[in-house]
Amino acid sequence: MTDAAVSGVKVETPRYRAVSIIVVLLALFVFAAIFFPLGVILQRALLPNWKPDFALWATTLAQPELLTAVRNTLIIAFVNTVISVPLGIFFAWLVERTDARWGALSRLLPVIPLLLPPVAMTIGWLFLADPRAGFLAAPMQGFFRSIGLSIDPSSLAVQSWGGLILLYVLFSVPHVYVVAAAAFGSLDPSLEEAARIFGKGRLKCFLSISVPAIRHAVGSSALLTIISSFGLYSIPALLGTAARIDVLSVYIYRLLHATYPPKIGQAVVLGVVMIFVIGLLWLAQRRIASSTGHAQIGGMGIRPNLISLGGWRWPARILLLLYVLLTSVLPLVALFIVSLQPFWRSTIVFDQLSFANFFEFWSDRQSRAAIVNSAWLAVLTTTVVVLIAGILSIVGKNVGGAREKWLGVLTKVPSAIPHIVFAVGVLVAFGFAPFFLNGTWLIIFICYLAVYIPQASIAAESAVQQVGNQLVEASRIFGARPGRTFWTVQLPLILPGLAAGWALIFTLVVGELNAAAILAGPRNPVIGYLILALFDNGTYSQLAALGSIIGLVSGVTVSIALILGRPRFSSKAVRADD
Amino acid sequence: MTNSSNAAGAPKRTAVQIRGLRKVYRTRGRSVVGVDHVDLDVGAGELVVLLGPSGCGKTTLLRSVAGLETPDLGEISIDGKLVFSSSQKKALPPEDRHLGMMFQSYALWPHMTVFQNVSYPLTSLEPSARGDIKARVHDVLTKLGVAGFEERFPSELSGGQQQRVALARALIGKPSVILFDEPLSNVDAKVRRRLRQQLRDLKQETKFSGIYVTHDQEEAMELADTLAVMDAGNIRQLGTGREVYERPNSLYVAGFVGEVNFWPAELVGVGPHVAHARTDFGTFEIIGATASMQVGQKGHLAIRPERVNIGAPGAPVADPAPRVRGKVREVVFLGARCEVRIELPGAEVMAWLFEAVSHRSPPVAGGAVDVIFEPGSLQWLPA
Repeated sequence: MTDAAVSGVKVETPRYRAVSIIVVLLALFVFAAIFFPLGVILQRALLPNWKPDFALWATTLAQPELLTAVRNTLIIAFVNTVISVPLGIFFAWLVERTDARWGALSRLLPVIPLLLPPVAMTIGWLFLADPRAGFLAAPMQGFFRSIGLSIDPSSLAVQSWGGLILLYVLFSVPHVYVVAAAAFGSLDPSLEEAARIFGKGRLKCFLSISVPAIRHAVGSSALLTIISSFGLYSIPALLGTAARIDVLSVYIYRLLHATYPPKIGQAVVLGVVMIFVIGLLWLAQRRIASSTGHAQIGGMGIRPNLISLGGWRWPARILLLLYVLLTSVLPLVALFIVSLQPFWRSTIVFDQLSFANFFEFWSDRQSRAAIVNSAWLAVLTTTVVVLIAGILSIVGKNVGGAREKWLGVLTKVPSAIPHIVFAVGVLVAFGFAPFFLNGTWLIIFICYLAVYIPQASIAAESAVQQVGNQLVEASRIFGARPGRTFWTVQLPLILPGLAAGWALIFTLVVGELNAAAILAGPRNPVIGYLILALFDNGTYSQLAALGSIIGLVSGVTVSIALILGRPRFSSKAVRADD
Repeated sequence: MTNSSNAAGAPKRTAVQIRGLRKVYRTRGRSVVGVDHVDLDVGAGELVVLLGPSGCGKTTLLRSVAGLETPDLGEISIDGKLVFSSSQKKALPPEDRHLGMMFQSYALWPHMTVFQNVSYPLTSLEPSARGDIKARVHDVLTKLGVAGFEERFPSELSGGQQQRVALARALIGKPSVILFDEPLSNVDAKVRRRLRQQLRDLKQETKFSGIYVTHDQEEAMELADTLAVMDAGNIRQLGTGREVYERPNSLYVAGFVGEVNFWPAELVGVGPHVAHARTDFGTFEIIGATASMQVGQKGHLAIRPERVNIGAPGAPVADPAPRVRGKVREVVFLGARCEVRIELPGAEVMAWLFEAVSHRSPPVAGGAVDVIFEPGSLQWLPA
């Protein structure tokens, strides 16, 4: 709580020198994994050979294709943010604040898409809405024909501006939802009740009271959406290429993998530009957030009266269900069907369905290696990253003050950097002399570690925050040394939170495509690499099988982790002191 | 109240000794004094209650004894053992101070059963010092009336039961001193009264020493062997509950431990036993002059509402005490007593009438009454 250094008197704790050394080493390791690659690419871009030289910038920026990619990226980022942020906030409001929610289930509904890796969703949508072989293509065309519209089938293609934006939106909405739902959850309901009492209508109340009250969450979710729009690789790689819509992430990938020798310098310059743009947006968002101030958050633990939607209740619920249908159910069903077909076609011939695709790629040495590698990497990175985040959060909480704050801020840095840019940094920093890690699983491990530490530490910090100070103090008062306090009180209490974090990160790693695209190759294949290879070869049935496996494994892992990590005690009691 | 009887037995040894304790919080360049040069002794078997509003430093003092805060200056000994000394640069961590503590939030570990919670202080000890854990847990739970709940989790207990489990955990290790950090502030009034009763019984039985922090004066009076009224990091007055209530040394203390009528006044005469104080509505005799009282001194004349007497106007004077004619503003019936507000020339006085409830008819609002100020009831509170 307070700083012992103030008094100049040091508490005589028995020396846990080994423990503190381990903690410091862990922190250094994590920060090296985060900041060394960043430092290296900044140096490469700004001070090549340690002196200012902008020849590289000139060549990079002179590429005509770059302009198109930048323009497309900006359009996608803008449109995606404008659609996803209001939609995500609206869903959060419906579920948290109105009687459109039904039971605990409805709070989970909008998050379900987070459990399905974007790459699986994208492949699923490819099977659904391809203009020729998509399952939805024929019914859609039939529908339009029946209402007297004759339209070109290819205008309904998912490989188009519309399709791209649709998928970006489907991907972004749950992220906005999570941020907004948390903000609504801690917002004093009397604000809205007062507005209703003073005669505002439901929609007016939502627009004039609820949304402004969580404007800090609006700002941060908009920033989050922009960052992911800049950096997302899976959706534009699988859909944009066919539609001839190039974006920056795909452009960077091509610089490294579609040219020989790889144009690493140009990739680095573009990465640095993206970091600067995001940094500026981040500063702007902070300025706006701090100048408008935070909404007053009430401390009373009363369940708010939900706003009655009346006749709009069921339409609102149907909207939520439709959203889950589009993001998770339909793509997964499409994946399953195609994975059982000998080849991808829009009609289902039942006596041709079989599990042959699953066996086929399992018998392929490269595919098997990719799956085994990914499984190992996912288990290993996830466990390591969650454990490190857990230890750092507990240590942060114990030291308190400025050190806790900085630990928190520094572990979040990678979340502001598109994964694909970060992967370039890791490649440049560790891939060649003196480390020569290019083509090894270790380089992917390092990249994942840094890239997923923000999510892990958010999960760990919120778990640690929920454990009241007095629970830890009580342990020490009753004679337990710090080690015993850690093992018997702190760790068991944050374990459920860590398990939830573990599950989330596991699914992210399994379906990871951004870093895999940059860092994986024939020598260190992972699932992400395999997906790109299958896609390029056009072996869609096997792609579907792989997507199904990812979806299935993610779903099962998350369920198991959540069940195992479920607290035996009521969550209310953990927050005994508030 | 019978609370002062325990304090009579002189303590054989000191459970806690605090000397010159000072703690300053520095946040963003500002300094806030938490505890300012406090001296305090807690005798063996004595319960000292620290009473004061929030921010008075009572919790900081308690947490310094616990070892959860590190003071800037001073010394603390527990059971004769130095646990903190700024001059010797010594500070034992909480786990080496052999304490029991009851937290405001109970701080029962939600992932452990009642048995695991209560046995925790024992399992922290060396195996040889543990004794028969099962029997000891059973004993203490029985004593507190929560036996049979061993396998339950804290969330499956009521607030009062959790409270008693927390007390059991504080007691089981036979600590040198038990610290209470507003432990009853989270339960409702009825349960609170029962738990206070239980705590007093338990104290009679086990003779534990303790420091108890609260902002509730009734709770403080009921539990304290010694009451320490705190303000702005200082102990303003230290004594038994009765001493502090009947002879407060300042308006602050008088007001904090109960209701009080007070008026600005000046001493106009100080004799060996009596003094005279002048107010806007008359000059009154005070019994019990002290050395610090001097003619011309400014301060307050005070009287507790239950010591204010009233009589019918012009009734035969059997009592030589000074009377002031006043008008009844309002009469509020409060069950056990009647609260009467009376307007005096340029002042107001509140009287609590207890017999009025049962015997005589109370005064009527708007009527005239004589307010009788007994010399023995009036107090001088220096400014």
